Amino acid sequence: MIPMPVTPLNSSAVPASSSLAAKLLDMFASPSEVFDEVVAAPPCFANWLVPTVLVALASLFLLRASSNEAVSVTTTLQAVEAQPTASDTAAVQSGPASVDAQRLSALVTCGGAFAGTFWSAFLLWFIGRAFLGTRFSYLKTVEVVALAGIVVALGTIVTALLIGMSGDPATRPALSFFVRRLPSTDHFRLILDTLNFFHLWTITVLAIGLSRLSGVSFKESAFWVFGYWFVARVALILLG
Amino acid sequence: MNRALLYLWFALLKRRFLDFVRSLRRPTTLIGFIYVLGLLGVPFWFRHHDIFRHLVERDILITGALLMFVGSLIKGFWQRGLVFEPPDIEFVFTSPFTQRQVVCYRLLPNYLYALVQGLVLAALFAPHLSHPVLMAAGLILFQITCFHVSTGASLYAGTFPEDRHHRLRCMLLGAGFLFTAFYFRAAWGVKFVPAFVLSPVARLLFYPAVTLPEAASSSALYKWVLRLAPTGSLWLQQLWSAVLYLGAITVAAGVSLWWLFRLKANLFEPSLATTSRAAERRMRLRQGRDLATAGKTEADSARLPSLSIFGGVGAIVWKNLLAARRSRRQLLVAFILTALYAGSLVALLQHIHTELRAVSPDQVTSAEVTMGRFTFHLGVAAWIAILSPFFQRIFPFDFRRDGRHLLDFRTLPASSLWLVLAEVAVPVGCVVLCQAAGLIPLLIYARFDRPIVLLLLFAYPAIALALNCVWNLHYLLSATRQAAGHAQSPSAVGTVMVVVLSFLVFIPAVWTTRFLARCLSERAGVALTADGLQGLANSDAWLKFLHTGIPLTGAGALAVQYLVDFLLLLALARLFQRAEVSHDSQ
Repeated sequence: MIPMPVTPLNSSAVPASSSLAAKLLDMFASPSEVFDEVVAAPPCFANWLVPTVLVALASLFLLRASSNEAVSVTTTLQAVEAQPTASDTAAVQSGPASVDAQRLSALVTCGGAFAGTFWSAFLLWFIGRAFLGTRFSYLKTVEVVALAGIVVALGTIVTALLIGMSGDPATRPALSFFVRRLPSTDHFRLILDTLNFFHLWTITVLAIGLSRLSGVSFKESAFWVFGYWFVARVALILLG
Repeated sequence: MNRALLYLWFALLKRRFLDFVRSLRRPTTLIGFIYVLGLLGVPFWFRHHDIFRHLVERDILITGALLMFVGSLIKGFWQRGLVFEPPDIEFVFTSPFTQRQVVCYRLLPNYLYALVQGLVLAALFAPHLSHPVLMAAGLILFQITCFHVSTGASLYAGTFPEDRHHRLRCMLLGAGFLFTAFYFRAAWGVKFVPAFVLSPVARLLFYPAVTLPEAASSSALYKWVLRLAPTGSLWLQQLWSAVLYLGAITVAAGVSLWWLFRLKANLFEPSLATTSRAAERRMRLRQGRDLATAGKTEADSARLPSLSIFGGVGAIVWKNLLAARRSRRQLLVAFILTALYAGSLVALLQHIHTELRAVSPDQVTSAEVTMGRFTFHLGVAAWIAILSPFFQRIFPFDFRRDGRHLLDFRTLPASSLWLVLAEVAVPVGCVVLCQAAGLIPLLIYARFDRPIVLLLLFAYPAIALALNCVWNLHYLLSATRQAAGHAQSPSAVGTVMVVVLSFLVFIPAVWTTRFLARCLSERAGVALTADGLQGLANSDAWLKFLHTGIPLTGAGALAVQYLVDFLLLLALARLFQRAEVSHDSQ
């Protein structure tokens, strides 16, 4: 049994403490410094709550933008057809259900942001514990993941703007942007979807966070973080 | 390759082979060896079958080779350095051999394994190969290549520090798994991933590398929620009540935990005593001793009765009777089991006979009903006999408990046959006593002929004696091993063998029954079918057979069974006499 080294939280050179807003802004430019500071500091409730709330709000904004575009596309198509059919009647009847669906989507979006943060933190913590052989605090991992979420929030806003510009709710800041004619279930398009600029950025930030938390090199942490959040997704598409 | 190392390997191999051949004298090892031979023999027997032709197809061979290669690489990398025997570390490592020579020495067993495996596989698939010799050579060389890769990977892994090696081997395992999965998907079209994993909802597992609204607004999620939600307008209320109950239970769990933590009680002293008791119970179980006396090991002394029957080896019977009297747990279990089966038996007999009373007297005295009653009661008698193995396990007043006193018993001035008979007497008596609780009401209700009654009275002790003899052979062997310092719990194969043997000891009696029943029934003019006592054609002849044939058949079978019992007792006595129980003898 290999003894697991405990990552020292209080290193000799503790970075100067900065405000949360500064941390969030620094995440775009120098995430490693932010993580160094977070790892060295005692757990802070706001460090994970505020970014997660921001992700949830940005996602709600994107949800609204996507719904509007979807409705406008549907309306246009209906106007072109200009023939009342049975499906229209069904659509009218399913009005309350659609409202329920929208509420449910909003609920899942907000809940997903929080649950996703804790889930990703668990994964990082587990990777560190099982594969990298290091011990670090789960709450610190939650903070790291939540702070990385600021990139997600930015990506979500950019996605909403792209959707607004293109009028296609399936538009993403990914390589799939160039093959929008392909059906959304096409394997090639799904793989290109995974090459989302903001997702790759987030994964890189997570890898930096894991390397800071566990004290291993960036290459090793990147192997596992990219292995799960990128390679595993591509593998699932190819193997499915 | 150094000649000295080659000689060392050959000498060790020869010794291991001879040790293995000697170990075949142990029944369990022999059975295991025969089992492996059987596993090889069955495919060899069917080697011309079509399935073997499919196994040597190109795709399957490539897949097998790939799996072997990847497996060797991972297995090799999994360990840092090579595994040697402890004496090798002491002698080979300190001797003037080069690293290359030591590696070759380590690879020699692998080469032999590759040779044997290649030859076995070539022999198995030869009918479907155009060049079996070439195939065998290829297999051997490929296996050797895999061993080289594995050894190289182990040596390479040894160059890393331990913590880094731990991390790298996880990476290699993950990469190997992914590579193999891709190969199976591409070459065989095997789908490892179920469809729901590709759904937008499943993408939530990859947060934050997902677009949240994409997953949240998927129709699959909505359908899933609709399926979970009850129909009607009250579903929200039902949901709230469910949440309320769950919340209440959660609060209760939390409050009870809080109360537990605040409890100001001494944890350590009572736990120490309980832990000691539990450890002692575990130790007694491992040693095959009884748990019942784990708590209380002291009892008042008792005087030896003045009856002459308890003189000589009879004292052992008295000792076991005393142990039985003190074993309240066993007696209670036996009493409950007896009460349960005897009570249900009496109820069944009472019910059947109440039903029979409702039938007219002519029908009751008819041959068909007589036959039916007799076979039913005989079946009940057989059912009581089947309880013997269960009761036998309840009364451990034989070599199970006396295994520790073997050395003392050997010094007693008594013949071993009488001694083993005294050892099994108490459990046999207890088993028969328990069976008597069911037999007595059966005899009252069934109104068997006198010869049948006598047969039954002698049959139960014969069965109980046979079972106890077989199991005591096992207990005696275990006790001998434990007394000699090999304190091992009996193996599963050994226990299965005893169970099988406890059935086999009745085979001679069963064969005798079948033989005599066939002969006597033919003489009586009864046509017995293959299923024994059922399917009788001629009822008058059957009644004649009932009064004469069946008692004679039973008597013959009983005689054979007692003969088997005697032989078992002799075997037990012989084993007791020859058992080496001292530490020095091993």
